[in-house]
Amino acid sequence: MDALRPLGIDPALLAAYLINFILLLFLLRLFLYKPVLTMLEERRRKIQESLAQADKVRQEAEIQRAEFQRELEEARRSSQEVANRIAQETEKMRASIIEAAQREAEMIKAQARQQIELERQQAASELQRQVAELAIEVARKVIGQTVTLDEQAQRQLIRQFLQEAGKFS
Amino acid sequence: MSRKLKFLLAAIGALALMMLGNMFLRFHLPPVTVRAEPLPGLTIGNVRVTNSLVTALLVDVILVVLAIAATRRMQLVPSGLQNFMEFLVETLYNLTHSIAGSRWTPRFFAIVATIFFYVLVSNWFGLLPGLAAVGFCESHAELATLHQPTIWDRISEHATARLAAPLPAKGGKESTSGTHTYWGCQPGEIIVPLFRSPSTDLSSNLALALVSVGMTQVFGVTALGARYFTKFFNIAGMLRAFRPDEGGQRRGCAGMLGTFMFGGIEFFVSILEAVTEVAKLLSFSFRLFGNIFAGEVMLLVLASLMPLVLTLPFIGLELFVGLIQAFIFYVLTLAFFTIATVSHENQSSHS
Repeated sequence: MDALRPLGIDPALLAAYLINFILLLFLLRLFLYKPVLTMLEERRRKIQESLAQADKVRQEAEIQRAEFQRELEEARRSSQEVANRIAQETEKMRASIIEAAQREAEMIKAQARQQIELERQQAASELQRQVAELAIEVARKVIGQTVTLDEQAQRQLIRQFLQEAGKFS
Repeated sequence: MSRKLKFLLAAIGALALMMLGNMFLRFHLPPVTVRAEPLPGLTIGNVRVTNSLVTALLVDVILVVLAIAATRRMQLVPSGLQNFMEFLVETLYNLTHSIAGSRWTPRFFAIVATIFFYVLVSNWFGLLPGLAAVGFCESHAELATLHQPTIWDRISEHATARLAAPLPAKGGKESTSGTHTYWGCQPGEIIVPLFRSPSTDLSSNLALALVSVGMTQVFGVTALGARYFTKFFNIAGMLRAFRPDEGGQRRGCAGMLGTFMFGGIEFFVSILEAVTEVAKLLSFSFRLFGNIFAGEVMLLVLASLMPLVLTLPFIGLELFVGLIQAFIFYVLTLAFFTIATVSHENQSSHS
């Protein structure tokens, strides 16, 4: 070993360096490699998890979107239905209102016609009566007071005459 | 200001710096020793603590402090130092994994990574400018008593004398006796630097090489059991000569001889493997030592020739060399570990 000493190789120093290296090995393992490698592993795991999570979330979103789409479609359809129904009902109501109005108009017209008929009859009988009286008056004047027939009989006679005359008018 | 003008100004500035440095900052090249210098007055037991051992401890402290600072408050979303250290460890881990595979990486990683970080910080620590100038003054004679001069010292001193030729007449107190004045030291004294990169101390490198080669054997035995050692003493090939051949026939005389010869070659190769294993110790330690030590000496020599500017590109070069050497130590150790865990027979049957 003495021959090596000038080169700087000394058994005691060699042992010192060996111990030094082993010490450094354990310290670095404790403070550097272990924590860093653990952290790298943990980070790898986290990233993997996050990616999986993101995938899941995307799938869920896809499903939700489909659901929304479906609901929207349904809402649109049902609103269309409601609108259609309302339109139908409105149409029906319009028809019924018009029908009622027509019926009422019809009724009013009939009533008016009846009224007119009634008034015409009244006017006719009034006319008859006046004509009869006029005729009696005329006859009285023509024949003076010599009418033997009583008044009742005279009226009967005239009415008969007028009725026959009315048949021709 | 145009590019050309800027360039010109930079060149003039650099030249001015060089001249100023040469006028005021010249220094003698301190003696360059292959051996790490013991620090005066620092002994543990019988051992004189060397400056490189002190530096090794400092490197430990730097690494451990960095590690603790980076991992003290670990966050899932990293930033700053944590991010950087994670990047280093992860890159190294992935590289280790690509070489050693899933099964062995957890067992190899701590050792090879520690080698890498330790060697890297050691290499770079020695490049801190002015490191060689911080130290104790000690008389040459006192240092000389520490050991009997050997051929290595003579070589080292010779080289020093050649490199540190006397400065051209400055004050005239320069003599040709070979004793120079170093900054802040009395004549006849030299600076013993307080710090010296452990990579320029063969003890440190050999310790690392011992760890590398020793753990190679440990992992080899772990993976293959006692069978691992047949790699170094393989007489199976020669014994095959005395057994029937593949067809179940007894071998003839010529066949037996031929098989025995081939077995002999295999045996010889296995002996070479054993020698290689020992040679690895040398190649590991001397490669690292040579590269880093040479780099530092070169920087010192260049600085003594021209204190400013000239060393700058070479510091960059040495940073690169330091990184490469750390990486080589790491990769070779890892490769030897991996090879040791692979069965010898499988390997040859595959090829």
